[in-house]
Amino acid sequence: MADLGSFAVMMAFAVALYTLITGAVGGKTRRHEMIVSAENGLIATFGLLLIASVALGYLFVVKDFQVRYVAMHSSWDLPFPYSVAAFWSGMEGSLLLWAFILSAYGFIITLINRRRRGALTSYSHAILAAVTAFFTGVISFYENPFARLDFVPADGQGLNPLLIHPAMAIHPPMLYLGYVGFAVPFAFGMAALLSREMEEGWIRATRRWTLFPWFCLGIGQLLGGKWAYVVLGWGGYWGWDPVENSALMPWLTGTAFVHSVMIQEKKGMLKVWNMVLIILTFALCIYGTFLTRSGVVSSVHAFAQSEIGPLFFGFVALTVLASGYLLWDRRGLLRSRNVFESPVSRESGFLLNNLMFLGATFAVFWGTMFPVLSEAVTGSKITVSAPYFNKIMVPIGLVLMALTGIGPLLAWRHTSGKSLIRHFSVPLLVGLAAVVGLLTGGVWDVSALISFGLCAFVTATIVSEFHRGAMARRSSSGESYLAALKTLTFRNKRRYGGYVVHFGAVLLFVGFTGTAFNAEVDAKLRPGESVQIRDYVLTYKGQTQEQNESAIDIRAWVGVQKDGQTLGTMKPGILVYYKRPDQQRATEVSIFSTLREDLYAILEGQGDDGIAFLRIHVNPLVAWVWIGGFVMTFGMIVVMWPDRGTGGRGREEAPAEVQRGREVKV
Amino acid sequence: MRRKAKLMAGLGVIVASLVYLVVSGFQNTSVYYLTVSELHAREAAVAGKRVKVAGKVVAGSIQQDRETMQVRFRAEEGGQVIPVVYRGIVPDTFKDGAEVVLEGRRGEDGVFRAETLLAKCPSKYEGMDLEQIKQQRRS
Repeated sequence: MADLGSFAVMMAFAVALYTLITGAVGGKTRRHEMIVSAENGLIATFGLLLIASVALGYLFVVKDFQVRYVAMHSSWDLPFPYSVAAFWSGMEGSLLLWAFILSAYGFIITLINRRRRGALTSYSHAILAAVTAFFTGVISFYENPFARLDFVPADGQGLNPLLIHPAMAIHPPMLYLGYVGFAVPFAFGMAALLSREMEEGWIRATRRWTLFPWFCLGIGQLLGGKWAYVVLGWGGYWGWDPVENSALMPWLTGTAFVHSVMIQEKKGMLKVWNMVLIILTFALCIYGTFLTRSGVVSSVHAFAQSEIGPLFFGFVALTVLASGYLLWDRRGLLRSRNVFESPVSRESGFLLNNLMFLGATFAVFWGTMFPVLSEAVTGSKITVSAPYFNKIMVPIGLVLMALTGIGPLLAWRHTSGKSLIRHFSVPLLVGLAAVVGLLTGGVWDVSALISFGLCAFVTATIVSEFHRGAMARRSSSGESYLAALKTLTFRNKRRYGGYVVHFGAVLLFVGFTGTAFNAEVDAKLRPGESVQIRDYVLTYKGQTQEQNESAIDIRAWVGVQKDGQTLGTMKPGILVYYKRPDQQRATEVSIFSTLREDLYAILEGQGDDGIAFLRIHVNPLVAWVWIGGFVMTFGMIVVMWPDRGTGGRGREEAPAEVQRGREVKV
Repeated sequence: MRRKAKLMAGLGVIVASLVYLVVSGFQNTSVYYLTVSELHAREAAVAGKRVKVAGKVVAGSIQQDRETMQVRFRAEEGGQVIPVVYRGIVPDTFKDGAEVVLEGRRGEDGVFRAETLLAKCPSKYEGMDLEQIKQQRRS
C-alpha cells in the first residue's frame, strides 16, 4: 500500500508537470487537443492523488506502524474517528491532504469549464497544475508520508492527546479547503491576464470558488479558536500568535477581495486592484505555510520545523514576482470603465472597506514579522504581542462594523441626502438607544459602547432591509409576510444571504466586545472553602482521582452558586498521560456556558491536604462568537444555494447586472 | 481631474491614519526579544526594561512553592544561566528541558521576574523520536 501511495504521488507530480505544459501550450495556440489533454491531465492528477490519499487512509485504518508517518501519529489505543484524522496531524499528511484538495478543486473546475473551453480555461488549468506540481514535488522528494522504517515498532507514538477533539479533527481540513481554494480564483485571474480575455468572465466563473474558500478559511479559524478555548485551557480563544496570524492574513485580504469583485462585476472598476488582492491572498496562503513550518518566527504552537521552509519561501517569491510582472505587462488591458463619482456612494463604501481590510492585513503582517525585520535591520529582535494587535485592530474593526451597516444601503454612483435620511434615521436611533441603555445599565467602557452601538445600528439596517423588501413584495404579489420574506431572500440570494452573513459578523463582534469585561481570579482552596467572582460563589468540595486506560484523571469538584441559587458542579481536571514517555499533562477545563457569559474553571494543580489551585475566568458573551459562526454558515448556505433550473452555476442575477454595466460603458 | 485629486486626497488621509495607528501601536507595546546569553551581554542596556527572554529550563532546577504559587527555576542558553521567578499557572508543557519564553524584568539582584511564561515542548506535535524507541527495544 505504501509503495502504491508513493508511486501515485510521484505519478501525480509527473502528470501535473505535463498538464502545466499542455495547458500553457493550449492557452497559447488554442489548439483543441492540447486544451482537452490538459483537462484530462488535471482529472488524472485528481485520480492519482485520490489513490494516494486512500492508501494513506488505509494505512492509518490498519495501523501499519512500519510506515514512519503512521507510527509517529497513531497508536493501537487511538479510537476510530481520530485514527483516520491522524492523517493530517503531521506535516507530510497535511501536504498530501493539501495536494489532494487542490486536485479535487481542479477536477471540479475542469468539469464545469468544459462548456466554455478556451484559452482562459486552458491557462487556468496550467496554473492549477503548476501549484499541484509544487506540492506533489515537495511530498515526493522531501516529505513523503509513505516512507518506511527498517523495523516494525510494537506500537505507534499515538496522537498528541491535545489533538483528540472534534474541532481539531475538522479544523485542519477546513483551513486547507480555504487556503487551497484561493488557488482557483488566483489561477483564473492569472489566466485572464495570460489569455488577454479581460472581460469580467473570470470573476463570474470563479465567484463561488472564491466565496467557498473564504468561508472555509473563516470557519476553520473559528474552529481553531473553539479548540484553543476548550482544550488548551488558557481562558481565551485567540492570542495573536504568529500561527493564528498567518491564517488570518489571507482571510483579511480574501474578505477585501470578495467585496471588491462586486464592484468590478457591476461597474468594471478596480480591475488592477482586484488582481493585486487575489495575488496577495494566494501568496499569503502559501506564506502562512512557510511561516508555520520554517521556524523563522517563534510560536507557542510548536509545529515541526522542516527543510521545506526555503522551498515555500521560494514558491511565494516566484508567485509574487511572476504574477506581479504579468500584471505590469498587461496593465493596459485593465482600464476602468467608470470613475468614482461621489464620496457618498456604494463604490466609496467598498473602497473604504478594502482599505480597512488591507490596513488590518498590513498591521498584522508588520506585527508578526517585526521580530525578523528588526533583527535583520538593527541586529536586535523586537517583538510585539496582544496589546499591539488589540490597539490597532479594535479601531479598524469598529470602522468595518460601521461600514457593514452603511455600505450595503448606499446607492451606486451617488447617494442623495434624502435617501441617507430615509435609510439611516431609524437604525441610528436604534444604535443611540442601545448606547443610552447600556450607559444607564452602568457600562462605561468607551470602545465597548461604540461597538455595541454599532452592532445595534447594523442589526437595525439589516432588519429594515428585510422588512422593506418583504413589505414591497407583499403589496405587489399578495403573499403573506413570511412567504414574501422567503421568496425575497431566495430570489436575491447574494444580497439577502450577504445580509445574513453580515448579521453573523455582528454577533461575532458582540462576542469580541465581551472580552472588555473579562474577569479572572486565582484561588488556593482547602476542601470546604469558597471563592467569589462577580455574582458567582464557587465552593471547593474535594478531589477525585481515577485511572483509566490512557490517563490518570484528577478532578476538583466545585459547587457553583449564583445569587444564592445552586447552579451545579464543575469538575475541572488534569489528565496525566502516564503511558506516554513524556508523561504529558493536559488541562481539562470546565465551562458553564450561557448566552450572557461563560464561567470557566481551570485546575492548575494540587497541594498537600487536598488543596486545589484554581483559576476562574468569567468571559462575558463568548457564546455569541460561536453563534455568529453558525449564522455566517447559514448565510453562506443561502448565498451559495444552487439556482433552480440552471444547474447551480452561479448565473443568478449577474447577467442582467453586467448588461447594465456594459450600457454604462457605451 | 479635480474629482480624482479629491479622491486621492481622501485616500491619502485614510492611509495616513492607518499608518499612524500602526506606528503609535508600537509605542509601549514593543519589547526586546533576547536569548539568555544576549541578556547577559546587554545587561546595561536592558536594565529595568521589560524584555522577552528565550532559553531552556535547566533540568532539576524547578522548585514550585505551592503555598505562594511561585515557581523558581533557572533558564540556560549559550552557556549562560539566569535565575527566574514566576508567580502563576505554568503551562502543561513546562518541564525540565522545555524551551521557555519569558516576559518580564530583570531585578537588581539578577533574578528575572517573569510576568508571562510560555513553554513549548520541542516534541509537542511529533511524539518521541523513533530512534529512542528503537534503542529501547534493543536494550
